[in-house]
Amino acid sequence: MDLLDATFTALADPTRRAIVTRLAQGDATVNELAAPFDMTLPGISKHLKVLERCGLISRTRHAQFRPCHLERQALDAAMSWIEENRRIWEQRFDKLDAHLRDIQRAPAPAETASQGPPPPEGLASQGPSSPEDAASPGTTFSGGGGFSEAASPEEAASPEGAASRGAASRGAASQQGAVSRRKRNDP
Amino acid sequence: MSDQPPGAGELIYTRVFDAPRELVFRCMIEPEHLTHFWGPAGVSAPLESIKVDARPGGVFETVMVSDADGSQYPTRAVFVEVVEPERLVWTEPGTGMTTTSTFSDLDGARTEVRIRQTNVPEAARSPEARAGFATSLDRFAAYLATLASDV
Repeated sequence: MDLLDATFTALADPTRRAIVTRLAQGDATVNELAAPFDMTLPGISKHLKVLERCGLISRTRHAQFRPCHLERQALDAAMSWIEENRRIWEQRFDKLDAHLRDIQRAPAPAETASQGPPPPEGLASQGPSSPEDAASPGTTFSGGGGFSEAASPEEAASPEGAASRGAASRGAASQQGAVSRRKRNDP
Repeated sequence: MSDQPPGAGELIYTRVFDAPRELVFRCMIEPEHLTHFWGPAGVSAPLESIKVDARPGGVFETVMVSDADGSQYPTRAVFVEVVEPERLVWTEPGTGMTTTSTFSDLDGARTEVRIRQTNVPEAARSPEARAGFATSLDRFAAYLATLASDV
């Protein structure tokens, strides 16, 4: 994990990411790497040393121009960690979604009040839903499926990412939501 | 612990669930719920090996067990912050990775869960490192993958 930590630290810098991106297309000398940046050669060299230390790049010891070479294995280790982590959370969310549906569809007998007032603890009501809600597709977006990585908080907070499913098939999904949904659609 | 813009080394996953916030929050701290979803596909999280003490300093321990070969992946974390039903923060002492879960009530019936992981050492998230980030690490990964397939 130490090497992986070092790799992430190295990749946390935009200049170093740009260098790695350039090297992914082929070996390059320090001069070639420095060209796109407004940076001195010593400045670039510092970045290269960080990349070298964590094993992301290597440099030929004896050649005059010492071209830099991307060590694909080290990069792949970091990238596959990210992919694996993403996969784990995606699948956890899938399972949590299914679990939440299970426990809300079949509440414990004590909590069952199928035609009565909303059950305790804020569980979604199983009572009849009002026809307007079910009939206005533009006003319902129910959750689930909105897995995403976001580059900005705005994006992360956007409900648009949520796939609209379930609203029609589970008409009773969210009466409580009706109020705020209407609010949102008021001109 | 206010929300900061994501920087490199941070991974953010969001999902909207059809359930009220209190319930979704409880799923994240009660072993009886966690056992149903904590393991990804093909991996289970046995109830008896989940320990949760949801208060600052309390443990969050899970063991994920591969259905195929029984190999085990224990995780040990310690709660840093517990604000019911809004926010959970835990840190894994082994790796230094911090996971912040934010639960946002959308309309009383739906909840947005946002998982934010800072998986790089603290030093990497200095103001200089944050400045001018156009891409997060995972987008960088995706971009590199496209480069690799071109070669």
